[in-house]
Amino acid sequence: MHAVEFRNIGKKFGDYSANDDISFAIGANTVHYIAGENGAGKSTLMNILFGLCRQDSGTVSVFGETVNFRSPHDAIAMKIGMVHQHFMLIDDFTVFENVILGMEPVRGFQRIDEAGGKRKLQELIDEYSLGLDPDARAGDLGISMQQKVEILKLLYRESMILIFDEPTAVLSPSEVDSFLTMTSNFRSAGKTVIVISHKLKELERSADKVSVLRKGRLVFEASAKESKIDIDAVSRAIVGEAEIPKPHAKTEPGFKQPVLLSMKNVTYVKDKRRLLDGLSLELAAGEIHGIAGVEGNGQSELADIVCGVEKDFEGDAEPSEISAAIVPDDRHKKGMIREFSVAENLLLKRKGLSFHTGSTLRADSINVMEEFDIRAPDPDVPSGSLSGGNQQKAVIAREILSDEEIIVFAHPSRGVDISASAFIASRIIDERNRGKAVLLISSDIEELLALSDRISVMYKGRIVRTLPGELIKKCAGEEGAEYRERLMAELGRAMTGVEK
Amino acid sequence: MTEVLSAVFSVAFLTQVFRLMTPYYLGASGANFSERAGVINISIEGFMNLAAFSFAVFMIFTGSPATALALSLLSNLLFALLFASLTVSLKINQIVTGVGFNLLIAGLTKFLMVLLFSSSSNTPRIEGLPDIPFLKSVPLIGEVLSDTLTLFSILLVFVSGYLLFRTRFGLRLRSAGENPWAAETLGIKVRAYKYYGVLISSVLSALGGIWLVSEQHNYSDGMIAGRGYIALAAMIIGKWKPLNIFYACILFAGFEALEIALQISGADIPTQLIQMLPYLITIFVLVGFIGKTRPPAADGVPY
Repeated sequence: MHAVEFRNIGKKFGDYSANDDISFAIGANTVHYIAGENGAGKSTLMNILFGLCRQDSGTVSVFGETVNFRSPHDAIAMKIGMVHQHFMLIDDFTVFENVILGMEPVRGFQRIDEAGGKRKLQELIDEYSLGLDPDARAGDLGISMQQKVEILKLLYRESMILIFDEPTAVLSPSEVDSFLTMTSNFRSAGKTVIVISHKLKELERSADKVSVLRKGRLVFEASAKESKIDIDAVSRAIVGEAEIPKPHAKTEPGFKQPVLLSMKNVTYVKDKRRLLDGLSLELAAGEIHGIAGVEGNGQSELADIVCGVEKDFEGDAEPSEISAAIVPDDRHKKGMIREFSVAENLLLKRKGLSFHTGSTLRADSINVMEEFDIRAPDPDVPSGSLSGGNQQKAVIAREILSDEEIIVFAHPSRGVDISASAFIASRIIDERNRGKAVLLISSDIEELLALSDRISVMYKGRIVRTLPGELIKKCAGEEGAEYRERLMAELGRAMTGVEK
Repeated sequence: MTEVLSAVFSVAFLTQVFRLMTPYYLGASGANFSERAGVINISIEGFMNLAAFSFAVFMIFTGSPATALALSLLSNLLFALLFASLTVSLKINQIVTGVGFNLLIAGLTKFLMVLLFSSSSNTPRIEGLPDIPFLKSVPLIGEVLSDTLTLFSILLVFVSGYLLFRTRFGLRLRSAGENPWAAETLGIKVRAYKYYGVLISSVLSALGGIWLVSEQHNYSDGMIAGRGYIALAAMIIGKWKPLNIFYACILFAGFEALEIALQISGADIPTQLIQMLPYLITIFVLVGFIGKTRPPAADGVPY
């Protein structure tokens, strides 16, 4: 029995075919991955399944029954639940209120049965070891806990089909592990799990089957039934004929050049919380200094201080007036003005262009868009209409062109597809080769190992460990594979505060 | 001066404060229901005005308080329905619509005054809403309790708190004001709850206007005198929480009672100075004590 079956699904937005004659089935009680580049049509297909939009042609059936959802409400009634990439939580509500909303346990006239509801919640929290407090305010929780609230919402609704849109994009390695364990628990509990992802390593570990979409069409399927899923084949299917570009090579000598930024014993307290606690860090020209760590250990505060947004800290920093370009972690909130056009966003930090006329600005923007591979129909379209990868490339273009000596990249490839992240990696290396000092903040250890000249691990507001460049070099190439595993495990431990 | 002080520290003064709190709390609580559902309703002033006028008119023509009350609330509901269709269904800017309603109602009442009573300022005398007689005999607080709408306001503090924070209706209404997109994915009919919020706000603010016109025993042009706006300030100072809003309304009512006490005592303080106090207090309290207030996250955002 199939949990879901798509038959000849077609969906157009204007002239653009988001889904084009897609047919495949998702087996009941399996973990099914849907992979593809940004804009390949994965989210559209899932939105159709969840009733958020309707297909132009084709049929969807759920547990053998043809369905025609007009709203998510219909999908929820068929025991389908979805965790969106951007969480749908009400920050000011408690975990309990968030979970029961729309399906409240009621006693008498409209009165919410708090005791009974919380008992049921606690049972689910214990059964799947979610470790949530029903009375906590959702807005106060960290990202991975918020994700668990979203999951709890589905479990509370007894969803049998759980859809996850890029669930691990914002998780640390250990959180990813526990997420994958959770998905296999769901499968053991008889549920069907659908994951939209382009993280091939995770797919290899936990997928029963994978369907790859490209440009709105189904191009590849593989099942883990007989043999392991061939990840290389999947990745080729994802990018199609286009080669995945190899990242640019690093030039010697790395960070022997002058130290551009030196921070000693920096402490930063906000709302009585010590977010940075005696942090010391050096950043030299011509190096990529990687900062590893689970999110929320002071990385974003460090970034704010380095780029001069936050000046109210204790400790020594040399120079005292720091100035840096920054590609921030949250491009929607801090990186760009979504309502502005691409051209206007590119202009925000440029020097020497105080007056701009339409035509020069346009020509200038088109050049930048070409140089940084920003794929937009026109420089005048609103930035918010671009895909995540192209938005990120626009932010990176603006920051690189601002020509600061120090550049901070915070999670530069988060939520960005394979080819865009390869492009971004090359640009980061280029800047290092040009002698810029690069601070690379990431929770993705692989990304850090591939790019960094040295890696410092942040934990609770301080640097707890620094890996020198020689160690990182040792794990490059085929022969370093085993060493690499060891190094990753060690970094993972340092990130969670476990001493070596 | 001693006369003023003795006037202030008296049961009569406290009674006065509670009575004067009534229109503020009814307006503020109404506005709160609307804003909790995510619709900013700055035409509380207009809704109070409309109800005060229509209650007077219906009293004059029917002579029955119950009929006048019902018809007056009905006319407010019709206006609120229009307000909700414009702001919720057609997503027209809520502030602009609110200002429009305030101006429209101010003009409409003036126009109808001339048409019906050949006077641009006053209607003939009316009887107000009747009191609850048997509560009058309660010692000390009988005066407060027996005023139907004052009693209703005090009960409303608890009823609205219960409704907003303990019931399914309240949870869904608040979800529409906090994150309508999330609420929709959970199958909540967000627009319907926004309509409920606006309709409740129009009924409660109508009662505020009806209290004023009952007290004054006739309708006069401009009689709401900014109480709808003070109600909005009380809602903000009260951080959108029923009990806190009640305290804020008591504060404003206290200054109004003080102003009246000063006028009666004939003390040599310019009344204009006292009249400024509620506004100064609003600014002072907001800056000094309350700090940053946080409205519902999607308040005023069209959905």
